[in-house]
Amino acid sequence: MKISSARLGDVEIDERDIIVVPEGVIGFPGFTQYAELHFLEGSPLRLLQSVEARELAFFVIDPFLFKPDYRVNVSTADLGVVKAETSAGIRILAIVTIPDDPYEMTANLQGPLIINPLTCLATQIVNHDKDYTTKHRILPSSQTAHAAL
Amino acid sequence: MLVLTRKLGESVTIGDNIKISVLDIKGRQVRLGIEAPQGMTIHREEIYAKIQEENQRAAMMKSVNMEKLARIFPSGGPEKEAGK
Repeated sequence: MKISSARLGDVEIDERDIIVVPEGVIGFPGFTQYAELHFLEGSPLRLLQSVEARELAFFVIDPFLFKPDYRVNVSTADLGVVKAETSAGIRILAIVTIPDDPYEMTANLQGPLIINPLTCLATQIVNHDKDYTTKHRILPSSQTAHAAL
Repeated sequence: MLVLTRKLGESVTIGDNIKISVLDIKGRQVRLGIEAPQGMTIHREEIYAKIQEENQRAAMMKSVNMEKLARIFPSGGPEKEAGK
């Protein structure tokens, strides 16, 4: 099927790949269908595009790429939403905020998305671990790395 | 808003399945115990609000400069011209 993205234009997706977020992303209830799109070759970022609203999309990233020791406690209530019995096989994604200078992008490690690949159901959970914030820096803050761009 | 006064060790019940008890009071801090059905999610309001706020910021992607973004991940270029 064809979906429309304000960012990427018309995109062809397989209906079976649609990720359903029954409760919506926090603050965006009512939008329950998303497609995970690759948009930049060589980039770990994906675009989680709403199927229902072309203007609504989130950049997402696998948080383990920059935070290998990241821990998420998935409650049984959360597992219930994505119809999983255990957290084994659950995918974790972090929503990325990209400011004017994209190098300063941050990931929300306090509110990760969990996805059950078997049911294509997802939900945004609250990570109560005090070590994590909604603004975790993704790229090193070193000046030299920045200047190299 | 319904306002109830409870003492240490007392509870309120909401419907048939939810019970909130006052477990401890220390100065300005109150420890609450919440019993609720498994499928119900319970959050500290301020954390929930912070996540909601960050989601809103993350969704404001009109301002994202895709060219600058592509320069950060130099192994490839944009697969599609963004929104054009």
